Amino acid sequence: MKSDFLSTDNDEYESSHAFTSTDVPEREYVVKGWPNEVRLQGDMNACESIVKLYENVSKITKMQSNYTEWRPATFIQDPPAWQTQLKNVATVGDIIFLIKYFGRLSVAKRLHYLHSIPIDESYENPMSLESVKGFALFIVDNMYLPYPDITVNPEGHVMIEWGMVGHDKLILEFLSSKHVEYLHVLQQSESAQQRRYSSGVTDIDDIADIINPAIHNMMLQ
Amino acid sequence: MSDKPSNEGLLADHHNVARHCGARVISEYSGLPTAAAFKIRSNEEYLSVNWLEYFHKGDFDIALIGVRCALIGKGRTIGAKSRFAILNVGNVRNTILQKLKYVPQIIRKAEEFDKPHAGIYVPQKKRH
Repeated sequence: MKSDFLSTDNDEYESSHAFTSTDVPEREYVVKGWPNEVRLQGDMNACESIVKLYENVSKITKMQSNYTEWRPATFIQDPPAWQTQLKNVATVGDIIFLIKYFGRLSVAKRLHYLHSIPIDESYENPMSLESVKGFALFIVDNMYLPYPDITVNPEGHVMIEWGMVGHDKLILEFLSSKHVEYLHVLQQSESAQQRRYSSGVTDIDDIADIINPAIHNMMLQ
Repeated sequence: MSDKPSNEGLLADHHNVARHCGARVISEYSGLPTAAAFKIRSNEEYLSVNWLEYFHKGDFDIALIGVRCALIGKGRTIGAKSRFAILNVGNVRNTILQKLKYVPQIIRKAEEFDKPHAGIYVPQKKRH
């Protein structure tokens, strides 16, 4: 079978000869791989397995490098488009629907629960639309993150936590659709005097860079 | 420090307070209160808690029944999924001192229908 990736330097030869074990002279073949092409010297049959292997590797490499080809269909649109879509929604229910649409079903289910339960204390605020937007932008943009513990504080801000008993704990509070406050508690097993903390307020666009090392460490623990 | 504070007195380090935590701040995994339960709102001076030794010394179960009645008495709803977080006054002081370099005041603030009501005071500028 002729390969789609394969061509020779001599088109006339390629069109008039079948590749059989008795009918293939030694010559140079060019395998059109991605991102580079390779040149093989010798008998075509001897090179066939190498050609197939290189084709497969090339296909996978190309798919991984071309962002839009392997992402789910819902992500084909450019990030600014879906971000704009999220920023423009008018209700918490719409945001929950969009989070579900983007594939984070567990997150959507938890938000729906938190949104639907009655508020116990009269001083508690309903879920803040801007805070939920900020959380949605973060969680949809960072699909690789493990599922966090999601809660809503009395001000109506979404708070999420990752942590393991006796190890690090990472807490984020979404103050608005743009800003997030973070607290990283290292080594909870230590006494309060020996624990180390890092905290601050930053843009939602920047928070992934700050928390990635902490998440990575927690996954290893 | 007096073991029995007046209606506006500091609580002793060996005493305990309870914080009512609604369903929204309870962990989905552990069923325990999360950090969200202890967030002081920006327009609040203190975190509301209830002094347990007001009702009973040594038995938290009995004391919590009293706290529950006091909260319901002043119009609060104690949901089926609500929890009470019990905090030792001395531990709270030490932890906040370590983190914020500030000794918080944990003061009894008795109310008409909530006699054991108390507050953990942390100034706004010290909260970050």
